[in-house]
Amino acid sequence: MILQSLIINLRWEIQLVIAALILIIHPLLLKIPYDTNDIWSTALMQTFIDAGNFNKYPVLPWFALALFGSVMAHGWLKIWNTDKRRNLWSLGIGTAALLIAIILRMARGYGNTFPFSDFGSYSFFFDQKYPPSLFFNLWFFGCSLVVISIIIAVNKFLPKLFLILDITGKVALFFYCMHIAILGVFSKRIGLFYHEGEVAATLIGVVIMMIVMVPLSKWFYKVKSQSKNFIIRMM
Amino acid sequence: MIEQDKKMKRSILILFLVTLLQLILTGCSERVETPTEGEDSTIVYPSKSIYGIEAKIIFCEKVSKKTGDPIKAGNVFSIKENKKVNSVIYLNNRESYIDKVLMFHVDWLDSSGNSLFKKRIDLPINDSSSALTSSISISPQKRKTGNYKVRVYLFRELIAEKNFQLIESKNDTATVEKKSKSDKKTVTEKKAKVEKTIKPKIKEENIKASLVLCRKISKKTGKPIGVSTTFTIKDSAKVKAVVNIEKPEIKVNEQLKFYFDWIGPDSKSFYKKQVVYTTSNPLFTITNSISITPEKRQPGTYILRVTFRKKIIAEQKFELTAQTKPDSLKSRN
Repeated sequence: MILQSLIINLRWEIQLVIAALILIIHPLLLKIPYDTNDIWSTALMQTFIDAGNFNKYPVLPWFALALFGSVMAHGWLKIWNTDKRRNLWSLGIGTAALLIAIILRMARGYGNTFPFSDFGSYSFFFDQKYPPSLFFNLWFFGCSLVVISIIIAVNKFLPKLFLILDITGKVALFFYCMHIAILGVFSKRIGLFYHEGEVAATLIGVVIMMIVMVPLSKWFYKVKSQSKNFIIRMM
Repeated sequence: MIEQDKKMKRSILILFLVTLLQLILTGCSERVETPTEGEDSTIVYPSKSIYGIEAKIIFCEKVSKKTGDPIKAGNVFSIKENKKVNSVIYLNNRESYIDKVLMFHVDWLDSSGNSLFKKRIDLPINDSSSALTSSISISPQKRKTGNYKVRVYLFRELIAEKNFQLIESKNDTATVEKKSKSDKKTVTEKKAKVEKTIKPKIKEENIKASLVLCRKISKKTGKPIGVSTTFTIKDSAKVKAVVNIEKPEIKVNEQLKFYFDWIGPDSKSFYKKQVVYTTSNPLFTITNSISITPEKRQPGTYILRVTFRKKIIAEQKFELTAQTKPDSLKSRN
């Protein structure tokens, strides 16, 4: 976010090129050998490129993804002035990203971390997140855009359905910090369903988490809108 | 007309979302969810495809360097210095995937289900190997007795798992091993024989407990600090009980109820605490404590009794003494 604030005023095309370059170069940077016993090289590599015990979220690939988000936000807020256009562009760009990701994966080479068995299998989708592979980043970006376009479409017919996203989206950083803390206490510390269940159980978990988080986010939004504190307003 | 168009769009959208949800819930697993148990007691998650890779796990003390075959196979091993348990994983239908890199993970789990060691094995294209091997050390410094497990993953999907047991090294076990070495029967027969000879030994003792009283328990190591049977009554002081329990015949996630009964100098129970412990580990530790502040306790002889299924499994007497002035203060006066 700090890095992004430095280039937020650049033209969206430049931001897009920077993001694409970083993502394309990142798999090459991952090949830089380093000694994990050496604190300095570990710190440097895991701050920017690789993931490990020192840092799970290296700056470069996630910064590139954030820039993609910034470029899309430019489209949603400034260029595409109707819901229909927003929807079509999001769906189009999302589908394109998914297609590139599939081609990249099927090539079984650059941008892939783990091998997979067949197209559409579990292992096909399950590439590496820590640090994110090029396939993962493109797939994640594409999926996010497709989901956003679905949300835009559904929102036209059922506008109240996504109010919860509106509430939580207004206090995104608060939501992020709180949900980690709640999961940390109830799931990890107490051991409540920690590392248990599959897709259906995860979805149930998301619903329960939203039931807890929506009223909290609503409350915090009130606090935030009345506060003049810079940090609270940032959350 | 516009209303109808809207309705149609809505129906298409709902249909799309339902299909998407169904796809998400069904997943893209290549394995059948319900496992089957093979003759050699390997639990197999069969492939949905008839050409899918299946695995069979065999545990052994050694692996032949020449043939790669298991030597001294079994499911029960004695913990010994410089000894290892090897797992040999035989793969069926390997030839169907000769044109692909196959990624396996062999995961060794302890009695609590925690991963001890995970090994990634990639079989490259045109590699015809149809067996994988992995091993862990079973020296007394590294392992405790209990039920262990090996899980085999293909492309990070669980395809097979098998349990084995580590027991304390005893002379009798060595005899059993010697016998089985000379015996030219099949691997499974040998395994059954080893198990048959060893099992009654475990059944003799249902549960063992050793009770230690101390002032504190280390937050880092969980070990007792200031072990004693005499404690001084003072502000914010406590007596902590650490009970190490060994229950060899434990079920998976078995719920065990223990009672700590703290008895005062008047032979009356002043604090009873039920401790419910769920574990799959045959070796585990439970703790309980009481406060020994001057407001709450009198000097005298106390007893702590730990019961399990109405039987006393551990008992310890201890003394509480009144606080005396520290020597440093005495000398000042």
